[in-house]
Amino acid sequence: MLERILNRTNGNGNVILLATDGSKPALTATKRAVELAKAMGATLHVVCVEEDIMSMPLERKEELLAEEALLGIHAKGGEVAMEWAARNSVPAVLKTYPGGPVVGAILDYAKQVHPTYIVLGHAGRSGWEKIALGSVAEGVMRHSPYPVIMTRGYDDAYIADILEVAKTMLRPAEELAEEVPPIPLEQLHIGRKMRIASGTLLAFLVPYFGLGALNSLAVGTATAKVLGDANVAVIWVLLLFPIGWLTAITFHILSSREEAGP
Amino acid sequence: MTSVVAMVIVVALIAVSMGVAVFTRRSARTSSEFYVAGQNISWLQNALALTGDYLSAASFLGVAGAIAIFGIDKTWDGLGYFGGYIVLLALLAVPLRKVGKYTASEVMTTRFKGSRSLRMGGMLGTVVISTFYVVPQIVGAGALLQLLLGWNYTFSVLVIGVLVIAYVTTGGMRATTYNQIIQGLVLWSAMLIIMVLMLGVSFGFDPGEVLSHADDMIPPKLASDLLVNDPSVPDLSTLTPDEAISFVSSRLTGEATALTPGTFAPNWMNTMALAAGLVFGTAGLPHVLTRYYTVKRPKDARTSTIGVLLMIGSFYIMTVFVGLGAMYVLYPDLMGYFLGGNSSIAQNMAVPLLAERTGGEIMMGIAIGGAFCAILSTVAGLLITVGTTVSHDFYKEVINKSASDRREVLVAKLSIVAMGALAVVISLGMADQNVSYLVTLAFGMAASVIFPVLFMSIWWKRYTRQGALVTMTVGLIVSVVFVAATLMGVESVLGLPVLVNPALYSLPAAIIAGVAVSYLTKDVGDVENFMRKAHSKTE
Repeated sequence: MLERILNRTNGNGNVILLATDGSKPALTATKRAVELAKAMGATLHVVCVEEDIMSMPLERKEELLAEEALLGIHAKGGEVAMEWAARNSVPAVLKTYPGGPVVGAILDYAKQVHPTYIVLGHAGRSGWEKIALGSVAEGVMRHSPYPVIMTRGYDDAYIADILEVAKTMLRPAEELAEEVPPIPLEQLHIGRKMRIASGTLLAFLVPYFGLGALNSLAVGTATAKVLGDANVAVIWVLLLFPIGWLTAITFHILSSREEAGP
Repeated sequence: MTSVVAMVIVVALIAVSMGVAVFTRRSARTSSEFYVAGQNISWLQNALALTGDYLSAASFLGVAGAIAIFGIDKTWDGLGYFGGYIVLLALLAVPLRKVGKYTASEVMTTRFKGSRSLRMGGMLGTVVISTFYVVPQIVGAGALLQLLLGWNYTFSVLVIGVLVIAYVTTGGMRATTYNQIIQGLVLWSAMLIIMVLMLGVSFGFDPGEVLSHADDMIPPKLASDLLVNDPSVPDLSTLTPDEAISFVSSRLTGEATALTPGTFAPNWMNTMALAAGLVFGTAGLPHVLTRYYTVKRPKDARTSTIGVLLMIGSFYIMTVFVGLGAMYVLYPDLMGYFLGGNSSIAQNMAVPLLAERTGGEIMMGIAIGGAFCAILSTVAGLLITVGTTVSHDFYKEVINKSASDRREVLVAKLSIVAMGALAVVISLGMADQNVSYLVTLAFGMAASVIFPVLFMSIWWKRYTRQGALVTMTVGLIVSVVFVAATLMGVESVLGLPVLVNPALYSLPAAIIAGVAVSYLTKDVGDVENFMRKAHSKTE
């Protein structure tokens, strides 16, 4: 078996592709992948995918809790794998995808590097959890044109050493507040931003309140027909929405320029 | 009125609501398809979720229904709901995302550290505003399902209540967010389909024809007020639309038409008060603000607001044509409801009836499905916001500072169940009552208790802790006094006329009081760090 594994090559040197999320099952796979790469003299490519799914803070917290027992630890999988590869003198490359779908991203990367093997851990979700959450390992297995080596669950004794490394590279429970450099307040240009914001507000509120004033105070003008049977008031109403859109888009452009500016 | 198709559509939507977390989560993880364009779409998801969150049954049935019986004047409300997002975009969206993580209170306590009174004030404001907002939703939902599906009121209220509480608490994961995305899409598409079909069947696909007909019609509300005591009026509901319209027009020559502005508009002060309440109230609604903490990058807060503006703007444009079209197609029916004393049915039924008239039972089912989605997503958004603020700002801050995440989530769920149950009980007690004043109060309070304190904290360096507290207190007192005055029929308070929405007084009062007290006090909080966070160039 090992011989067959060792003899596979893609012609550009061996590549082992490891997909990891920093959980205990993934640490198991990481350890195996590094062992395998070392035995084959292969380069380790580590791929990490952030699931870019929007959720309310409460929903996010709930999900982390639900998966706690299954995953065991939330480490920075990519960094742990790179560190473990370095300790074992295995050359390694890290690739991070900022958004999913996870299986698709892993396979996308695989197509670029043509791995000899893809190695990943199966968390062992079963029953309802598998229906609800799906299994990345099984998804990759089903769709991958490359051979897949899947480790199942985890054994605390086997991963004890890599777990020590992982514990020093935990993912923060919540996004840490972004560090803001201590620049003087004048350089924030709050006044200028306020002027852009006020201009935006006035660009919509003046025509909006203006319509109210027109309808209350100058009914004659409001009912004057301008376009077929449509009078000034109707046209004004229908135009206010596009005016709002233009105002919003202009604000976006000005603000983006402000953010990008010196 | 009970229709099998409508029932099937509603049951299908219930099934989708319960099952949605499963599919969205699963496909995000296991789909083998991967497109670069599929990345970083959180702004689009957020825009759709906000649309579902924000457009309630009042928007889906109420706005078009009101235009169908009052004419063009009722576009004012839709414009106000729309304009609220311009205020949000310009003043709050990006700073909120940069500073806040969970709740509106947190924005204030990031600047005025450790201020328990501001945190509590924000929490109580959120709970009270959400209660005032959620009860009319459920009362309206009960009445609606009673009317549309023939269920009795109590059963309807219980179905909605239990369903929402169930999927917000047990569906967990991403059920609320994804349901809102799907419901937002369903209700927007339902309105589009109804409009296109109506234009095709009755107006030769020419929107100009709708306006042309509207210019010949006297709005049913006005016409019925003038004709109600006239015994010579025949049973209009047996006539065709054209016959009924020309009969009424010949009797009431020279009266205002559906396109005449100002027919039902109150005087200019009331018009401005309503506008101020809608525009600034939207920018202070807790369940809308919460959505800004869910986007990944601060820039997404801006782009998702533009997305919402496109979605709800196009939605309200559709309601203008659907409303005026419904007035024409349903003219005999609407006159019949009014002259028969069923005016409240007329407004809520205009959209479903129009759908049935132009596309049969299936279209009516789609209209009912759209309304159902609008109710579910709004109630769910409000409940999860209350759960978050109670567990985060109250339980974790006051009761048990060292609470684990597990505890916090449990408390959030318990408060969602409690809040949902309370809202259902209140709604059961309020059957057949006009509860629209609660919505006015919710918007008025949001505009005067939540919006000004966020606005000034984010933009004004000289703002002080005491100033912030006074802003909230004055906003609360003035808005409650004027709503109470409206309810008691008092015409003026301290020489000021009582208006349809308190915001025209309470918002300026809150701001002026905040400014005055800030100049008299010195504690500007952690202003340097706060301003750097809120206004730094990190996108």
